[in-house]
Amino acid sequence: MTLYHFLGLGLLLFAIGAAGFVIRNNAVVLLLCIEIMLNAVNLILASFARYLYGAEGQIFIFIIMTVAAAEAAVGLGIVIALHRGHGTLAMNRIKDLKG
Amino acid sequence: MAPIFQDVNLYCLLPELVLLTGAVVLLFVRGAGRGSAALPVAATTVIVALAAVPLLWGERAVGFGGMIVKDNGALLAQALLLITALVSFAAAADALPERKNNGEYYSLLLFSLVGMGIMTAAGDLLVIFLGMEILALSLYVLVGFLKVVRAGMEGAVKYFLLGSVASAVFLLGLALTYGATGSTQLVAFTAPATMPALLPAAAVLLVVGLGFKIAAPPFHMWAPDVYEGAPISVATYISVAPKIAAFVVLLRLAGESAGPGREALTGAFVFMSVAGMAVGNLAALRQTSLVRMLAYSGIAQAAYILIGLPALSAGGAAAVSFYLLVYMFMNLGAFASLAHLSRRRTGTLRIDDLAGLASRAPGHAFALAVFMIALTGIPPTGGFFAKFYVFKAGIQAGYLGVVLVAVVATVVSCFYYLRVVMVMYGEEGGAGLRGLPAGVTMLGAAIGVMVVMTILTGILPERFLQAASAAFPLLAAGM
Repeated sequence: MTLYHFLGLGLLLFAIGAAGFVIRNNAVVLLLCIEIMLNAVNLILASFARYLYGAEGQIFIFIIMTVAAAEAAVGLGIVIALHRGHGTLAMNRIKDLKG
Repeated sequence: MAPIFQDVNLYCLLPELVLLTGAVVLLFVRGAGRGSAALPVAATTVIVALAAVPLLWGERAVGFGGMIVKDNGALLAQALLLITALVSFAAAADALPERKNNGEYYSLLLFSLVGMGIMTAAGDLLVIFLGMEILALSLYVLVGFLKVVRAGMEGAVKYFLLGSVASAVFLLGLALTYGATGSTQLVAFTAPATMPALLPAAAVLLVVGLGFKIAAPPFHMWAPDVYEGAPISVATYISVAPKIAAFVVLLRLAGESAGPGREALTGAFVFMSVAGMAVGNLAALRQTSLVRMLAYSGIAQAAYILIGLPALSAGGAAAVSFYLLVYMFMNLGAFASLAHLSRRRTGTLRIDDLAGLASRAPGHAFALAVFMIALTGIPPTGGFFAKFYVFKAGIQAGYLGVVLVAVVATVVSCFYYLRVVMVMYGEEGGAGLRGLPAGVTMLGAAIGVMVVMTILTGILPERFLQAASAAFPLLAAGM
């Protein structure tokens, strides 16, 4: 296993998250896709830290995890309020705004 | 081991600490965040923070081991951000319903100011990311603050989802920068890299992620929906403040980059600029709602400013900061006028509703006309010189093609900006504007100041340009 295996896996995960964000329709699934992307970044940071530069990169991961948790909290709150107001989480059915 | 506290230097975060104190008081002190007390407490906090800016001016306070660098550029941006917040407070006093938890609104707004202060002063990509997230998480909630408004929740969820993806893209850029150089400091961009092949990709990802904040393609789709769905005071704030903060970060990124990363960065700026001008202007042409027109116009304005970024060596830094200054006055004025006209009404304000405004509220129609003329870029307003300096820097740096696109885009933009003026002065009998507030209001006074400043920047552009370039001396000289 070399650095490039881990980098490839990380980029693949990021691409899966990004593709899912474009394809899927449910707001909660979109939240999951964002989490996949953030954790793909964590994996990339961890592999760079392990193979090249030492512990600094692994500390970044804790910071990113903290921010991701805060983001998920705010996101779930918004999604719940959205569901109360619209009665659905399907993004293609939520379109009062257009022009 | 030396104690780590020596290089913390909290003094460099003095304005942020003031804002943080105010935000916490609004949240937790009984009485401060309730009812009518919230607005004075928040406004006082912002004014005290504004008073802290001259204290730090010229000191270049460095803290947290070089992660926070409060230089004059950061302080200038901070002053603009705080003024923007004050104007949005004036709009909020009108737009928000009388509720008990208005303290939360002002508290979140102060938190977002802290985030932007950190962003503009950051010397490290990770700190920029943290500032961006403090800003973004507060704004996501503010957009959906009026939970009962369906459009508001829709705007909030769109803003949140796109914003989170943009942060993930920015983070990937950060991770690749770390992989290429072993450091996330901004100065590391100029250092010799271990894996230089990663730098171009990293630079593009960082810029695209930041592009969300200035509503530049490919992350521009949120702007019209969010501006329309959010409370008008929040839309006023979002249309100006995060853009100023993000442009300061982009200025630093562009100033620190070298080698392969620099070429990729230039390519990304040119692409985002041209795409933004095309999307913004063409979509603005067919809008009937005033706020959506202003949203697309904001996308186009950000695209004009982007021209100055690849042209830093040809005076682009001064041109960009001058444009930001003028943009703040004219866009803030336009949105404040909109807030003044649409206070507490339901539904969006259409451009046709403005018919006959000139005869019913001449002062107000004049103000809106000044802002529209400035946004088009017609002298004697500051908008003309803002565009002129940016285009001049672009031509001198060899981006003639982009500037030509921008000139064509400006001509196209005449149609939708000047249509507002023609409707106000040429037509009669708009139905939508009953019950305009009479007398002098806080918001009316703010609009008046914006009118004066928009014209003043057009009469004395050299003064303001010199002040702007003095704030970014390193960028202007070091390239």
